[in-house]
Amino acid sequence: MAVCIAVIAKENYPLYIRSVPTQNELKFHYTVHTSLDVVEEKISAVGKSLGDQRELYLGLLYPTEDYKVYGYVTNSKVKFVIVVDSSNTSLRDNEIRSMFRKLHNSFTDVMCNPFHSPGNTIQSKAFDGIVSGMMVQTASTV
Amino acid sequence: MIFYSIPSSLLQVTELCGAKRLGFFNTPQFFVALKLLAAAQSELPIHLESITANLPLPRFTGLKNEPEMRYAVVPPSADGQGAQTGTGTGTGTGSVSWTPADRRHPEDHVDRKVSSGGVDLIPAAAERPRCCEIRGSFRTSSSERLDQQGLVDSPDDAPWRITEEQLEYYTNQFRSLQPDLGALIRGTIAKNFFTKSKLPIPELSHIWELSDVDRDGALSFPEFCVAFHLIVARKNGFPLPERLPPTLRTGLLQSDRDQDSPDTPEVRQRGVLKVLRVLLQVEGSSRSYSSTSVEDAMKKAEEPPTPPPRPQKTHSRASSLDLNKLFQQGTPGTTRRPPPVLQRVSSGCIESGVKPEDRGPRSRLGPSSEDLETASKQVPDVVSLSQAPQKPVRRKYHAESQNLETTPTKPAQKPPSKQKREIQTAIRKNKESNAVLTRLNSELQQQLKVSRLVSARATVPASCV
Repeated sequence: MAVCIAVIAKENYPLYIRSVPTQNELKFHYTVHTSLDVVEEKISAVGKSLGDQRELYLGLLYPTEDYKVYGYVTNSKVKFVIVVDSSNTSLRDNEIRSMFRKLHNSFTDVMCNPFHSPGNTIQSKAFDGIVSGMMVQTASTV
Repeated sequence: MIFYSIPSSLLQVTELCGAKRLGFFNTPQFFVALKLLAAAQSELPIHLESITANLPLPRFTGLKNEPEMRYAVVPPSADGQGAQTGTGTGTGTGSVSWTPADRRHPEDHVDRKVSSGGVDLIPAAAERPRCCEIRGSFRTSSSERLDQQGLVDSPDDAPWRITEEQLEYYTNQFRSLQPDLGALIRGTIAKNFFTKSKLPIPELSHIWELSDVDRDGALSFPEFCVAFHLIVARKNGFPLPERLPPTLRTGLLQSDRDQDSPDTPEVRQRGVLKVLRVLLQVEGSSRSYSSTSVEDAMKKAEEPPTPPPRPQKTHSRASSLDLNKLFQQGTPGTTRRPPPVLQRVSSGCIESGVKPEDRGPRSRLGPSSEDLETASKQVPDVVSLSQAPQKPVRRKYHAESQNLETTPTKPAQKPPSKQKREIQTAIRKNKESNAVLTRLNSELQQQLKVSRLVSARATVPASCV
């Protein structure tokens, strides 16, 4: 169960950010922003060694005391970032991977929609539904 | 009712239009309320009779729905034409008087609109606010409109059911975009088409999400009908559902089952996309998650077929080396083109058969080979041989022309594949070694002869002695 889910475009601006509404929403946004650096690092490092083949799932980017940040990059350099609460029962790697896979699938669906121009923020209800399904269920949906 | 500025008369308005009694604003109530608001805003007393007066539009701050406003002008003028004063019995009876004048006027207006535009969904929007005000005569008006345009609008019944006339209309529209009913309409075409309906883009986006069930970025005929139907419903004021209503969904499923996937490229592509998706999702955990998206899959699929381009120069150089060797091996001193070619053909038929078939150089060589053919008489014999040697003959010309002209012609066509090149080089090497060995052989044989002679001479004196 994620606390914050973000989709960042290739040019590193956010296409979609959703977090559990608490007081520190800004903190989550900041965390996502700083994790982008780690993502860039990972992309550039792996890219040189393997060439074309690159693992899309980046894994744990950045653990802090409160939460963990996981990353995932598509081949078109669109980044997905999931922030998970550490106090939560530690989610297995597979679960995180499946969350990213779902995100990627519904992101592809959004891209296939001809009324969505790439580069705009994602306003699809289906995408919202998928994301809400992954977020921590305590707070009401925004 | 958030957007108007006379809160004190609100209660009066709601009471009069009957919404209070019903508990909610249904469409007739809504329009009566709007009329009363207009009256209130123009300082007229709020009574049901005032509905029939020729009033200006009620002013709402922040409301900008231009087409609706345009058509809202119609009823006041219709009223002026000859309406009776409303009775005080509440709800919609006061507006019954609108019926005759009302329907006549908007129909003329609407007919003009229909004749002007191709796919103009605005008539539907225009009709609905006007004719739906009349509760009693509701069905008759809707049936009349049915006859006129075939755009059925029976919102009080299941709004999510597509009727026959609607289906016919949608079919015609589909045909105008894509003559084959079994084929797909691509996303961009559908986008342009549906944008004509002047719905806001987020709503159109949502409609697309609802109707593109197989997520292929294109609309099949049933999907198109669903999308069109949703647009029509939305234009008539229905809120878009979160999920596809069951009546529409069954229509989609049925037609999917009925259709025997016609063999069009789009359908095949769709099938391929689906299969790829399934395959890649099954592949799953061990592989990298690049396989989860169709885009990545397509990229991967594209990679193998295009081998990296290889420089043709080395190949031609190698073949020129071959030629030189042949010159040495064969008839030394002859530099004319036809004889070495002949020799080549006679000796190296096998090799020529294996040479890769470059269509590009062949086409280019066409004229050059023809020139050479006209020049020499022997070449037609060569050419009249089987097809396989003919190609390498031209290739030989190509190499020769390259050598003679010393033009590094970089071929623009696709280079031969790796395997063939390997075979080529292997065969060339074998040929070279063969040549070396034959030379060695001949030398050794000569030496043998010499030694025999020597031994014979040696033995003779021995025998002589």
